[in-house]
Amino acid sequence: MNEQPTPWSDACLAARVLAVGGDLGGIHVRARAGPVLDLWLEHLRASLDPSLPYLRISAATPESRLVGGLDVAASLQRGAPVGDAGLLAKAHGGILVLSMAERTTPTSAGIIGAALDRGIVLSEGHGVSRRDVARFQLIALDEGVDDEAIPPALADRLGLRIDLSAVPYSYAKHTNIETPPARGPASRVEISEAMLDAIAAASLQAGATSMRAAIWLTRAARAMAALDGAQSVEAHHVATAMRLVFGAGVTQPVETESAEESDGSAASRPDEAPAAEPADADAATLDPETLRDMLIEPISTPGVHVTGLPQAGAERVRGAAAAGKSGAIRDKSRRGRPAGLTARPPFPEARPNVVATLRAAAPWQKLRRRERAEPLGRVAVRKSDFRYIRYRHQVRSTAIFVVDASGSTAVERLGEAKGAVELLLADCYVRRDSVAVVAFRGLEADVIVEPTRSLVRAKRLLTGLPGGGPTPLASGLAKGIELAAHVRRAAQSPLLVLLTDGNGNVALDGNVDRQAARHDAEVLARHAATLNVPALLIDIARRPRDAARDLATTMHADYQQLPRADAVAVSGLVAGYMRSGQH
Amino acid sequence: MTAPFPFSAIVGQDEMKSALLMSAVDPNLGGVLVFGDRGTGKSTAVRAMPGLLPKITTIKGCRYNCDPQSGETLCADCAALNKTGAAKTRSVPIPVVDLPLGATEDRVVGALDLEKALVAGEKAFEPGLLARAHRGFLYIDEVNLLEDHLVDLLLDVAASGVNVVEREGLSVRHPARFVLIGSGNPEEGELRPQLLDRFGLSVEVRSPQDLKDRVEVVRRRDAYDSDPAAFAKAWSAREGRLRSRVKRGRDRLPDVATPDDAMEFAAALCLKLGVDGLRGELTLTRAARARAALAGRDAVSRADVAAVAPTALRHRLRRDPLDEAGSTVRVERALAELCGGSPGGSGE
Repeated sequence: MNEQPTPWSDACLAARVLAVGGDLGGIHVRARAGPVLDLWLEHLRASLDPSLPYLRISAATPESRLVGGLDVAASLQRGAPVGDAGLLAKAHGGILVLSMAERTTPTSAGIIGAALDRGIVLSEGHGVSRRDVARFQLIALDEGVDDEAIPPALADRLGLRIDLSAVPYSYAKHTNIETPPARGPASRVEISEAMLDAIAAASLQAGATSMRAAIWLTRAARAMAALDGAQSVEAHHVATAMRLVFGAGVTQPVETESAEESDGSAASRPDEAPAAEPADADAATLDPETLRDMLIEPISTPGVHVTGLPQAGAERVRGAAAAGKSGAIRDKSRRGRPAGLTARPPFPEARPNVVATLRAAAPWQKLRRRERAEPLGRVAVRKSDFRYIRYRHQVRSTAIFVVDASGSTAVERLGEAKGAVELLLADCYVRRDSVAVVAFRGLEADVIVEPTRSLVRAKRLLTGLPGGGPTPLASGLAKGIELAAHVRRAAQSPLLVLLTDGNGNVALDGNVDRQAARHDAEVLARHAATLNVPALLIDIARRPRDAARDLATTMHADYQQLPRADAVAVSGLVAGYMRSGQH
Repeated sequence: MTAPFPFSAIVGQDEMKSALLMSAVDPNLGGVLVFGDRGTGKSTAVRAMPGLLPKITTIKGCRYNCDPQSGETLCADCAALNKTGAAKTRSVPIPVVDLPLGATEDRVVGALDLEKALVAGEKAFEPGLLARAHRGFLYIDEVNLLEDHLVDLLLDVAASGVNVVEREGLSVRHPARFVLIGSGNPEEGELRPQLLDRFGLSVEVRSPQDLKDRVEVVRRRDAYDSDPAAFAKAWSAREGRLRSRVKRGRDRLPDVATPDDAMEFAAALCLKLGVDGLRGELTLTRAARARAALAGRDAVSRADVAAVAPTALRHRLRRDPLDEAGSTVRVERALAELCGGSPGGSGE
């Protein structure tokens, strides 16, 4: 504790904490592939018992390899089913390194997460039912940039988090690789009730609503004390554990140190006192309140930011509007990434995969030959053996905003629409969705922002958006539908978002004629309905009348009134639609 | 095997606990869906359920947990045994079966026995998870990540109570009545609305926000981690009391009366909330009965209906994208209006 902790020293400490034992789930490592990461992994291996398994998998490792199943070759040779333990079970007792963890699919994350939770892995697949012990610690190597991160289901189950991205190699290479610490005494460390209370409070304060965080903190504090050779958990153990568990920045306020010092001297030097004493003295002199404040401080200090743990507030906003399955992934796709095998055709004219089908047929040959007395040398394949490759294709959504920028719409409306697009873009960026903007004013509509995921580009294009003039609603619709069709051709799903009061006064041919304009708009709306373009009409009139509602009905669009449409409301509404499977 | 974390030692999460207890008392409630924050003890609670459930009698040697009392829903083996009178019974714990992610259809419904096929070249049926879960619970963690066709299949069997297997030249029918328990986190993907309302009860869980609760969670968890066996022992008295409450509730359930008053209240509530179909109303009264049975009462009261209303109805409301309040609040609002104003109002 006499040296100022750095991300690198914390990372090495985390490796040792993991080695000391105590079930900590594992370490979430934010780092790019490179020498620093390799060096750290070397440290990790050195601090572990070399006889224990150390396995490396990647996010692309198929789910069936994770849980295990039937070893077809061995089964055929032996003439009896031979099971094959999955990689999770093979890592039992040791370390499983998951590289490119930010690419892990929700299902893989669910499987690994369940194994981390229970210490066993269940497999029910292709004729074999297995239950293997799989107690391992996961090292998730997260190379995500910006908002990309490992699935929250995994992050929540990893006790420690470190960040190597800012560690220079020249600095890291000077650390000596240490020998393994003694293993296992963490559970024998005492921890006072007051300390547990402080831990619970501190984890809440750190913004970690998940109860797991508090549990990790308890275990990490125990491990810290064990590493220290202490008999009981003391405040500085918890403080250090907090850095590792919450991945908080480096600085530790000076007060913490001095408080400990003065406290230590008051109760005579801790290391000189008999074994059990110091903890009690510590807890007695420090009331829980002070203890709590002391622990919380490092995190609430400005300039020190909490990374890693998923924050609560932001997540809860969802759900209100979302309906249906996430919709972002299309399972029955004809293209995309192969995602396992299936016994039923994923789409009507799918062709079976020959190798997979033969594999499925292999175990039954003996039985079938006997049944039908088929000659040797011919493979008996039945319809039930057919296996198809299932592709998974990430469907991107594109929200097409069709915005009324005419004189009838106040300038503030335009501002709100711009704001909504920007907000939505920021949000879309996370999911790799895109946004396009069509504005109609004057005699015809213009595509202001072509479908884009670039926030910067959209912002730049939007700033130049002028307002005023008559209202060519029909033209706006036409451009919107055209874009929607375009988006569809690119195998993405469009969502039309109209911000209008439903009153156009310029016909498609550019004549200012209210009657013709209405007729054209109606025709186009019907067209959109037949094309089955999912649409949302946001009525931005100050006093909503029937015009917009009728238009929405004709289009089969959802109708929402937002007489005071503000950017946040519009963006929230559209984001809800894009997340849901409604389009 | 280490002792599981005791059910009674789970801090807070009263709605989830009572939903699970109600489904233990009345397996016909249609299952429970637990959705919400991570690290709230969803799986812990479900995995602790075996400790609360009474034993059941089955026919010895039956691979489907057949109930000797039920005449018509026996599997083929047991029906034959029953005729000859050779059926012996034994008592077994109520099964709580895990359906892991990545499970394939053949293992869920059952398929050709691989061992027999390979070794003896014999065609025999090997029951799957559905057979194992008969008369018990089938638990799917991360139900929202399960393949759609599997979820469809499960809900179908759960509703009909019979598993029909027609594959690989086999034709097997066996009873499969189980309580489906699903849990998940909505951020990883929502459940299709069609599936949502096929679960009888639905619970939203949130991480405890109250410091006292959180402190208690940390303390109990730490005590459990240090010595699971001792922890289980310390809680065994409370666990035992809860177990006998469930047992008494199960015994009492058939005799719990549902007065007209409670029935009308349930109907009015469903009408007010615009819940489609009869399913909501049925589940609401059934759940209220289970609650009354669990509390040791002989008749359902309005208070029972009101208490279970959010759990039984929240996932059956039509979504309103502009109503930020969410369905729980809407149910509560309707309850407040019904209780405060004129009960049995005509709704809107």
